[in-house]
Amino acid sequence: MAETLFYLLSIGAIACGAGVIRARMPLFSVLCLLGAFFCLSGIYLLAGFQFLAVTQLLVYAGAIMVLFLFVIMLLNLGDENEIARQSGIALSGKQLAVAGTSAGVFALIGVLTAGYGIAPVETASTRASGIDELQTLAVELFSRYMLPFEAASLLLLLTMIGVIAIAKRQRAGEPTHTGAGFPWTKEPLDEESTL
Amino acid sequence: MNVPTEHLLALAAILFSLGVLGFLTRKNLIIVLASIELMLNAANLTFVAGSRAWAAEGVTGGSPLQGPIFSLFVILVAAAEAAVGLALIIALYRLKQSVALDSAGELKG
Amino acid sequence: MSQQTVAAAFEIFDDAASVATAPLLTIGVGVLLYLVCDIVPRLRAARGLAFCGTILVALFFELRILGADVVPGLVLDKTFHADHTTALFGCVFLLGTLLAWAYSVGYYHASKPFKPEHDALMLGAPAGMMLMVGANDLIVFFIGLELLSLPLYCLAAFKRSRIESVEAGVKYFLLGSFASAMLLYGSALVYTASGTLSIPGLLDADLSSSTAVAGLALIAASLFFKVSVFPFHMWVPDVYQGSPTPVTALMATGTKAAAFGFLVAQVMPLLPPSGAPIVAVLGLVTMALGNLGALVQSDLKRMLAYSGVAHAGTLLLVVAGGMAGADAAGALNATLYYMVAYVFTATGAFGLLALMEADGARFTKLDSLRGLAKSRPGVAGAMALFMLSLGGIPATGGFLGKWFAFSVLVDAGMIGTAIIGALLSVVALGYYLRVIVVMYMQPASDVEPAPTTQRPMTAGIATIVCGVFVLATGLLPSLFLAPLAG
Repeated sequence: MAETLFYLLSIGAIACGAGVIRARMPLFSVLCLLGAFFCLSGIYLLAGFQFLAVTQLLVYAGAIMVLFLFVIMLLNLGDENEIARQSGIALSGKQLAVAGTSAGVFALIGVLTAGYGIAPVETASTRASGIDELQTLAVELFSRYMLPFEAASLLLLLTMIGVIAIAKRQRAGEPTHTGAGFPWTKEPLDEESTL
Repeated sequence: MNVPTEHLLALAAILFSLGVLGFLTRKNLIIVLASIELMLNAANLTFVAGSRAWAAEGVTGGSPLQGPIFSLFVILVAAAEAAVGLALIIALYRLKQSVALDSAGELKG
Repeated sequence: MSQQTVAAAFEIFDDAASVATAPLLTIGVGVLLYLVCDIVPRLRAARGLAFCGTILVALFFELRILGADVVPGLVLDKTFHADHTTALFGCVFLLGTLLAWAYSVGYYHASKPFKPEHDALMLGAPAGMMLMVGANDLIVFFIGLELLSLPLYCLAAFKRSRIESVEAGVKYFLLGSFASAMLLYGSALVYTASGTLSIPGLLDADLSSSTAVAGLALIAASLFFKVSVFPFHMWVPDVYQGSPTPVTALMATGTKAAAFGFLVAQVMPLLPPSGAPIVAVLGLVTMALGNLGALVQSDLKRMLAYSGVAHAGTLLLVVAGGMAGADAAGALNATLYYMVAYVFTATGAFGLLALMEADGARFTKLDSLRGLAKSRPGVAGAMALFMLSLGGIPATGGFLGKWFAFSVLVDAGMIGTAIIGALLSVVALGYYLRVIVVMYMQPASDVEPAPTTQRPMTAGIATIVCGVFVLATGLLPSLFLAPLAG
C-alpha cells in the first residue's frame, strides 16, 4: 500500500516538475511547483519524516508559494500576450547543446546513484515516532548546530532588510542619508528624487 | 514503506535534472526561480533518502539526524532566496516592464 | 527534558567556543545596534560609530585569538574551528569590509536612498565570511555562504534606479543560487554515501563510491563558481561592472578569500590527487582567459574584474599543487598571504574608482584617467602602486603572494605548470602598466569635466591604509607569517 502510494506520488512529482519548466504562463508554472511540493511532502511522510513533511507544507506551500503568487498578481503577469510570447520555450542550437549536455550529465548522476546499495529495512523505532522526532531534532539544533541556527536568524534579518530596500517604492521627498553617520559630520541632503 | 533507497535517489536526480533544464532553457525569471526551488527540493529529497538509509542501517547518534536538519536549513534558505529573487524581479520589472531574462542584456563585452 | 536541553547547550558552549565565536557574536550584536541607532532619531548621528565600533571590537577578538598561544581549535561539537589561520582570515575580512564601507561614503549621492540599509547589509557580510572559513561542517559552511551571498545579491542591485545595477543583482542572484543548489545536491549525495556532514568525519570516511565522487565534484564545481574559475567566470565582468563600485570591492575580495579559504583548508584534503592535473589546467585556462579579457578592455572596472579572474586562476594553481602533494600547511599559508595582498590591493583599486565616480566622473573608462597625475597626483600615485602590486612587481605584496604561490607548485613538482603560470603573469603586466602610462604619459583631454571637490575623508584614510598594507606585505612579510608559524 505505502509502496504504491510512493510510486504514485513520485509520478506526480515528476509530472509537476515537468509542468514547472514547460508551462507557458508563470502562474501555471508556480501552481505545478505547488503540486510538486505536495507530492514531496507526502513522500517525506511515508519515509517517516513527519516534522519535515509539515515544515515543507507550512513554509513552501504556505509562505513561498504565497510570495510567488503575490508577485505574479502584483506585476499583473499572465494575461499579457507579450509575456506569454516571451516565455515559450525558445531553444537555439547553442542552448539545445547546453540543455542536452546537462541532461546527460544529470542522467549519468542518476545512473551512478542507482548503483548505490543500502537496502532499507523498516525498523520498529522509525515506524513508531518517525526518524526526525521533534525532541531529538530540537536538542540537536540547540546544541551541536547552535551556531548555524543563530547565524540563520541574522541571515533572515539581513534578507528582510535587503528585500525591503530593493523592492520598496521610493517616495519623493523622503528623508535620505548619504553621509558617513558620524556625530561630527553634517549630512548632505540631496534633493533629487530617483523613482 | 519498503522502497529501495535507489528509487528515492533516482527520483531526486530526475527532479534536479528537470530544475537544471528549466534554469538553462527558460527566459521568464519567475519560472527560472521556480526551477531553482525544484532543485533545492531535489537536494532535500536526497537528504531524506540518505538519512532514512543510515537510520535503517542501525546507525545511532547524530548521523541520521543530520539529513533532516540540513533539510530544515535548506527550507529556511529557500524562503530567503525566493524573497530576494522576487524582490529583484520587482526591481527589474519597475525599470523594464518585463520579467524576461532577455531584457537583462545591457551589459556586454 | 527542557532542563536537559539547556544543560546540553551550556555544556557545548564552553570557554573555547565563546572565544572562537566572539567575533561572530559581535557582528550579530553590532547589526542590531546599528539598526537601533538608525531607528532612534537621536542616535542617528552615531551610526557610523556603531559600524566602525562593531568592526573594531570584532577585530580585537580576532587579534586576541591571533595573539594567544593556545587557540580554541575545534569547538561546538567539531562544527567550527578557530586557529591562527582563521583569525588572520577574519582580520582581513573585517578590514576589507571596513575599507569597502569607507569608500561607500559619499558614493551613492546620485541614488541615495537606503544608505543605512546598505550599511547594515555590509556589516553582516564578514560574519558570513568568518563562518565559511571556520566551518568544519557542511551545514555551517552553507549557512555562512548564504549569510554572505544573500546580502550581496541585494547590495549588487542597490542602485535601484540604474538598470545596470539591477541587472547585475539579477545575474548574480540567479547564478549564485544555481551554485548553491549544486552545493546542496552535492552535499546530499556525499551525505548519502558517507553518513556524515562534518569534515573530520568525511576525512575518515570512504569516499570512493560513485555517489560520493559525484557529490564531491558538484561541491567543487559550486566553489569554483563562487571564486569565478573557468568555465564559471563568464558572469564576473557583467556583475562586477554593473554593481556599485564599493560593493564590487567587497564582492571581489571577500567572497574570493572566504571561498578559497574553505577550499584550501577543508575541501582540498578530500579531493583525490589524481584530480590535480585537471585543476591545474583549469587554473591555467582561467589565468589565460582573465588576462586576455583584461588586455582588450577599455573600461577600467571591467578590466579589474577580468584581472580578478586571472588572480583566481593563480590561486587555483595553489589548490592543484596542494592536491598533488605539496605541504598542506604551506599551501594554506600561500593562499592566505596571496589573499591578504590581493584584498588590500583590489579594495584600494576599486575604491579609487568609486572615489572618482563619486567625484563626478560618471564613467570608468580608461581614457578618463588621462593626465590624472597632473590633476590629482595623490590618487594617481596610489592607483599606480595598486596596479604594480596587482601585476606582481617586487617590493609590493602582489609579488610575494605570487612568489609563495608558485613555490607551492615547485614544491609539488609541477615545474612546467609554474613556468606557464609565471609567463601568464608577465603578460598581465601589459595591461596594468597601460593604466600607469595613461595616467602619467598622456595629456588630459579637454572634454573631460573637471572633478568636483567633494572628497570624503574616510576614502582618503582608506586609501592610505590600503597603500600601507600593500607595501607592508611586500616589504615585511614576517609581520604576517610570524603568527602562522606558531
